[in-house]
Amino acid sequence: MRWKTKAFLFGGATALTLIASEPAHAFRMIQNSATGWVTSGARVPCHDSGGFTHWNLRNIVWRVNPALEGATAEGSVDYAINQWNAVSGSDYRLTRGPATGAGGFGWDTTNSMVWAGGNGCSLNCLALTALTLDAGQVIIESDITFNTLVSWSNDSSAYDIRAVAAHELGHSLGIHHTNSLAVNRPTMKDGYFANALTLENDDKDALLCSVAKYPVNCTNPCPSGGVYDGANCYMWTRPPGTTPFIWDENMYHAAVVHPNGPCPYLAWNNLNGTNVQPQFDGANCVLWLGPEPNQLPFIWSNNYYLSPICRP
Amino acid sequence: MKPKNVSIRSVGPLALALALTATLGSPAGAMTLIRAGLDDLVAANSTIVIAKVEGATSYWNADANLILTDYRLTTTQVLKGRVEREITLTQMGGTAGELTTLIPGGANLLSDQRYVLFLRHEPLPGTEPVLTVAEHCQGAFDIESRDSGDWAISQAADESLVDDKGDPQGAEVPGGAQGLSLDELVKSITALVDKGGDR
Repeated sequence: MRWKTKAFLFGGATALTLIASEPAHAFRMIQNSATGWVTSGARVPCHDSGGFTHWNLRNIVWRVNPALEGATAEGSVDYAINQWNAVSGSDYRLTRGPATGAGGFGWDTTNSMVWAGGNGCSLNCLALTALTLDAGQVIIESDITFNTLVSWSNDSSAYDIRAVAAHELGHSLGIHHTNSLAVNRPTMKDGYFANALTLENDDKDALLCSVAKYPVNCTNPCPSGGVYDGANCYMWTRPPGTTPFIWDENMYHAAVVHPNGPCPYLAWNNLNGTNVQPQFDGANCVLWLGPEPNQLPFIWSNNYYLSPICRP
Repeated sequence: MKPKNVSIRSVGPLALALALTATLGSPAGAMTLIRAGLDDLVAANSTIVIAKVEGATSYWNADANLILTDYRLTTTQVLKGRVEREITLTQMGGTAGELTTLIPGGANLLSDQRYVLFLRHEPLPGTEPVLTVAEHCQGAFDIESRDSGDWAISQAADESLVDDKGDPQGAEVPGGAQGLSLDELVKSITALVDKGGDR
């Protein structure tokens, strides 16, 4: 054999070996290289040099407006959310926030799931996911619209909200349709089978691919004035003698009778030493008006907290 | 039959090209769609054209919460409906400034490319009814020029489609993954239009 042929064979074999040494994953990610022309996304493997769409935070709050579907929709969405939260090794945490904070289908800093007869999803479209991307294929918002003309279920019959929501949530995380031909179809293959109610390894590998390729280096997971306590953002200590509460994702405490008015406290210090002046709204003292994108307010041990947007 | 002699030089590059091609990305959709047969597509859409994309402009919708793209096309053949030679269709998605609205599963339209498009008027977020590919990737067929003539391949060919009972079996797009000749597609569409296939 001539040396040129040997060299060619060696080079070719090496190249094929390198390709073959990549894990034979079937899942695919959504890549956007659009400059205004392309409105869909390309399906690419995890190692594609062009990268793929991804989040730069890990706590993603979804707000569901089930107005045109019914209250059972929320429980079905919870089921789908929990499937993705249960992926071992992933630090993504999806949460369903109160419906009162639900925005619409489109960029409004709120990740919303809505049931509608329009939004570009009609007739043969069951559900549609929109991604709002910043530079670098960074997802800054996702919205999902479900077609109200479809008969939805939550009992594994067509079309089960749990399965379709899990499928669309996968898209919201930057995952495209898989090439898998496995008998137990991954959720990202089809979103409507009984066995798609749980994620398959192919789905989990797709999420872990995103986690590994785009780790979140979170140095400040809290809004200004908040202190990360290892799990959440400790925002404010309650004023003495008051009972804090959350209403419509805003922070309040009940008005206290005082000669100078109902909200007389100059403020009180949070752990960061910031003072805040509550305002009387006619019934209660308003401390903070939410909602903050991807953060949820809550009360714990009579103090005010926000969920973090990521975990250091 | 004696095997043909095939040189290493000819097989090697071909094998490498095939292997590399398998690793490259391909455009495809990512919404959940019920499979639409050709009869469904013809019935559900008021306008069917063969057209070439001449240009596009992206902009924020009237509610300033979604980026839309207007595509300017020149029609070369009208298979259903009555439209001008120059038409504009509107799609959700596009890039305006630093932000992009990405609609995975939308029809994928590129400059100077020809397509068979199934169109109808529908309101999109923040718009009055506009001419759009409402069936998304199912409503657009790429046209490829081959030695045997023009070929039409559904953009939904790689998709996970369901039939109207939620069953994926047989939920193949018109022409399947390989597509079909453009002439054959046009004849089929014309026959359905002549039968009065309206929904």
